[in-house]
Amino acid sequence: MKTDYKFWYIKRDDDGFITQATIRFYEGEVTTENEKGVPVTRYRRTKRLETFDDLQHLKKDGIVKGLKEVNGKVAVFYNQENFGQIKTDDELRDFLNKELEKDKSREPIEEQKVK
Amino acid sequence: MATLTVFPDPNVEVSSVDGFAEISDAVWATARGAATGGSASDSGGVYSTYCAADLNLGTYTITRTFWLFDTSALTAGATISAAVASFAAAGGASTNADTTAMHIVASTPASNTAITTADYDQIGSTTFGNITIANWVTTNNTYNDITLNASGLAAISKTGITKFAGRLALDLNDVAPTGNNYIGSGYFADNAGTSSDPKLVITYTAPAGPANVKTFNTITLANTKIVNGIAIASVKTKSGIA
Repeated sequence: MKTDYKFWYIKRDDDGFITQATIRFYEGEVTTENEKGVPVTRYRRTKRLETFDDLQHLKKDGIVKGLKEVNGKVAVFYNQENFGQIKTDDELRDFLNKELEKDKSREPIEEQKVK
Repeated sequence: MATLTVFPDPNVEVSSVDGFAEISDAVWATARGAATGGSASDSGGVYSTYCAADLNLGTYTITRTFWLFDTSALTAGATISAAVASFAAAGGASTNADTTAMHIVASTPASNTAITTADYDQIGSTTFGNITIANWVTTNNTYNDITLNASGLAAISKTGITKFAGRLALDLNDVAPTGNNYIGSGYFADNAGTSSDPKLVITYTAPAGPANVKTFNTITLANTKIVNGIAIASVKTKSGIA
């Protein structure tokens, strides 16, 4: 089973530093399906990961953190306490790739493996 | 100023979506005025004609693209000063027989988390900004930016879902194409990774936080804060003086 994450939103302050990143995690598989009549092989998501049982990387020393619900929508909120002082999407991706790597029960998609 | 960068949800959607609806017909007016499209998708990662108003072998094809963004993180008290919508090319060539452009307009799909053929006509006619096909950079993973005008800024929801769509100027202005016109392949949020998703970057001023106003000798203490865009002030008296 593969896993990945997607950005919902990223907030930056007046100086361009990322202050909050709100992320959703998924699992899926690489499958071949017809798209507009053409067979396409690619990663397809099958499930959102929304519980602490599914989001093993959020458990640290037995302390659960990071999962919040806003307007009935579950997402994982990260802030500067988690990723430090960063400005770019690439720096955020480096942080999240390491987070994803903590879940040993799933394999990150190629694009989100720690290089 | 602060910025909020927002992305549509991929399949399996939570609160927003992106995708397209399109139709083909031998009559331009029938294609443009149809209530229901011939096909639609909200789960593809890339599409070869990202936005189209096309005449090919006697058949008109119109592709309308939908992008919904959950911009509720702005909150009601935010003041928006600028916004740029960006879409990543996927490397496919564009065609531009009639020298046209892709415009951003409003959309009103029936669901915030799905695009179906029934959404084909749920599209606005006021432009929020555009990019000419000539200026669309087709290089894979290269973002193409559209700066939103005042109407576009006003269409951004501070508490819910911002609903945009793309349509070519030929479609917007009801001018029948004379040849092939489409934006070359572009990415949707379903593509793997996070470096090519459609995005909306909003520059804004956050609601004022709690403010404390004190007078000398601690005679007056006033606290003001903004809740849902409404200023709330409380004043405490000291020694009988407000």
